Amino acid sequence: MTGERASEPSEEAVDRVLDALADATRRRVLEVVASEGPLTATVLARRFPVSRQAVSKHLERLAVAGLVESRRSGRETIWSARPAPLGDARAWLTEVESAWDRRLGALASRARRGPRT
Amino acid sequence: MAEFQTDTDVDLPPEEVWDLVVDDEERAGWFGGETELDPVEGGDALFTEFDGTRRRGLVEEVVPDRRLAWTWWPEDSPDQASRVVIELAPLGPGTRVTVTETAATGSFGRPPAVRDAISGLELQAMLRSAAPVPVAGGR
Repeated sequence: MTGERASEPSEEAVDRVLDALADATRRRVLEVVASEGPLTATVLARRFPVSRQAVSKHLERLAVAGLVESRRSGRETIWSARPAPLGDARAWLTEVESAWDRRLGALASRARRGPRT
Repeated sequence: MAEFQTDTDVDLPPEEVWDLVVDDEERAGWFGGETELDPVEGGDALFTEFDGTRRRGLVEEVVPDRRLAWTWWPEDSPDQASRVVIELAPLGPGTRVTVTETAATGSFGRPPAVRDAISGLELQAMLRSAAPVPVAGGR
């Protein structure tokens, strides 16, 4: 992966995604927007046992993380999902995971050959 | 804060696994690339991966036969630091090796309550289960 630094996820961006996803209701909101959106906060709120204002707050937190985006349509705000940042968070973990899997696999093989001589 | 954790069981007792972890030549054999690490608190470390990427490190904790922790960062992006903890626990005649890597960027002005809201393991499970977030298809 030489020279691909620009495409590596920034850890601060990963952080924002993880913060946004740290709440179960917010994860559900994202799921619904992703599977049924674009939709308005009003429509979305019918699916949740919380107020429209609360749903709007969750949407704003998701937007800060870049997980959803909004556009105005007349008096309404329409929300839709943007999956890319979630991909970034997963990319960070996938990268770290594959490096450690490789290292620990090699350590286990090395250990099978006995102690340091 | 993004945290990753994994473990593996190996066939040597902790004190012998420790040698494979702290000895530069032995570590290079399984870590990959080139690696130098001074196994004392405050010791310097340098990792050069196969592709030439270099990471600098600072050793933070050394508990012989049990625990080694360091912070490392890409030489050209010191803001992308993460902390690695390698823990060795006796398991029968062998050792359970647990590695935790935590992205330290989370410490930049993030409230602890938010940082702690989600554990790394929960996170891994969550991101995997969230994998194919159904994107509302075509435009």
